Amino acid sequence: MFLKKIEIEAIRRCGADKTKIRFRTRPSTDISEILPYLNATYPDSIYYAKKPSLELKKDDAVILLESEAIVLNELSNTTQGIKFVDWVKDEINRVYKNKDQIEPDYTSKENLSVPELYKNLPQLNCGKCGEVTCLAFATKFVKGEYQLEDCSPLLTAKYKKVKKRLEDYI
Amino acid sequence: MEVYFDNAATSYPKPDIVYDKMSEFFKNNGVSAGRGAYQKAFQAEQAIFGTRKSLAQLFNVSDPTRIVFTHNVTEAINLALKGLLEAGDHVITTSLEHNAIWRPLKELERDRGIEITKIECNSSGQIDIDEIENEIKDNTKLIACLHASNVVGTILPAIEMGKIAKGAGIYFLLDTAQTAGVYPIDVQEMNIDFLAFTGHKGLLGPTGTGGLYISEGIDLKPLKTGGTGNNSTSEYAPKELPNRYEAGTINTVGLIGLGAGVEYILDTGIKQIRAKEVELIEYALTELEKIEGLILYGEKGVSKRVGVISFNLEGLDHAEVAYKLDSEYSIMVRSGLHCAPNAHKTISSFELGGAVRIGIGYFNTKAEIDYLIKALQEIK
Repeated sequence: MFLKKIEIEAIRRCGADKTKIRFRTRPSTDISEILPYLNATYPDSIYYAKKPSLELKKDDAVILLESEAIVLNELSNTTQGIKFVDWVKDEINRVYKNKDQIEPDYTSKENLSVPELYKNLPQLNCGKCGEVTCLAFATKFVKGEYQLEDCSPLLTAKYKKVKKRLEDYI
Repeated sequence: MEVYFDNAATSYPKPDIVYDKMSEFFKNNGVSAGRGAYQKAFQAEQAIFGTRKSLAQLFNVSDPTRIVFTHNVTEAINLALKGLLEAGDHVITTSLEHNAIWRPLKELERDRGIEITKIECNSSGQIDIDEIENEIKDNTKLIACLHASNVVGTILPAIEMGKIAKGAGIYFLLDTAQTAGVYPIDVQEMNIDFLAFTGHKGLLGPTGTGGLYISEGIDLKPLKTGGTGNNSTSEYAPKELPNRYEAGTINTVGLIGLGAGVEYILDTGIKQIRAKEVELIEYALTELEKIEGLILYGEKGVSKRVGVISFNLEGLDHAEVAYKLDSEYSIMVRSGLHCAPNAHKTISSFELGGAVRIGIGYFNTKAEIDYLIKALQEIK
């Protein structure tokens, strides 16, 4: 088996939606090499080649995979979280097993520019995402450490158009 | 020689792995699942998820989070019935029911104004499937029944009942107290909307464990509300399963034991378990029939039976027989009405105050049956 275990390291409340929780976990193996294959398997996923990391959605959960960490966001409870941890592990092993039949997809979102992204953010420096400034958020966003949903003002009706513009840009 | 023939009440002994896993977990982990912010709590939660996953595999449930834990099958049935039924709803059930279904239904009839139709089974516990179909009306919401009788062991045709329910667009609740772990159950093939199970009988876990599978898209009103370890600022129960129905600290140690029991069943294979039990049931039925003056209840054919056999000895009180079996032979059986007065009325043992019941389990042997037969010959 390629990936034997995913260990849960921490369970926290989500930054954006306080009713949801976030799992930070550690895979027992470096999973970098499998990310382009997952990117090919899940057309909606977002791949960042430099880091490398991959963001994919499963039902309501948003899962961020890095070489030595897997973060699961937007979980409704711990049992749901463990279900997704279990799913990710099975899925990584399944894709690994079939990787000879999969054409890896290296298409990356790396060409996102920090200034371009920052220009489109609400620029309130509200700090709700956990960063002091929106610029810091934009810098980390490009690295794949945040999703748009982590910026809570963006979820309000006022910034609906801005959010749409950002989504189009991404 | 001490012989345990009360597996229909609770299975005993359990496989060693059940005792070992419980003890190991209790000693080395022992924390509350889903509550803490530390490694041991995460490990406990993952172990509990393992139990859900094994049960999902056993019952062919695709999403393990649709299985919610309760303290026993009675609580699971109460959650389904009280969470689903409203004034004016009509429910179809059978004359074989245990009080676990019958009492909540009667209570709902009295307090909430539901309507009940009880289909009479014949004296061997068989149901006429057409009768169920004929009783379905505009306000029929649910077919609720047991999978196998805890009095005569008769297995009801769950696949056909599920088909009828699906065809009529109504729900199907199956009480698997006597079948889970000893007879194949497939929620998809049987079109089961609510599968109520207990952990301490055929599933080989400890007492205090059980659960309810709720099929996708159905929302029940919770039976209890309280802390769920998540989204604490909300003043109402969360919508998501399993937390919606698992308020309060769950029986972590017990559920670890249940997980070990189910793993044992999956490793052994339900076919193998059923085959061994069929052999024992057939042998017991054949040998019991040879005893003169013994009234044997239920189906003669073993294919429609689980390991529950009830009988009376002519001219002897069932309680007296059970007492003698215990005091003179150390054979443990059950006597009386087995919490199912309607079932005893159906098989005509109600007037006798009930019957003697033996509950055969996977770990019983033919030698133990021989010993029981010898004892009964001597008692009569």
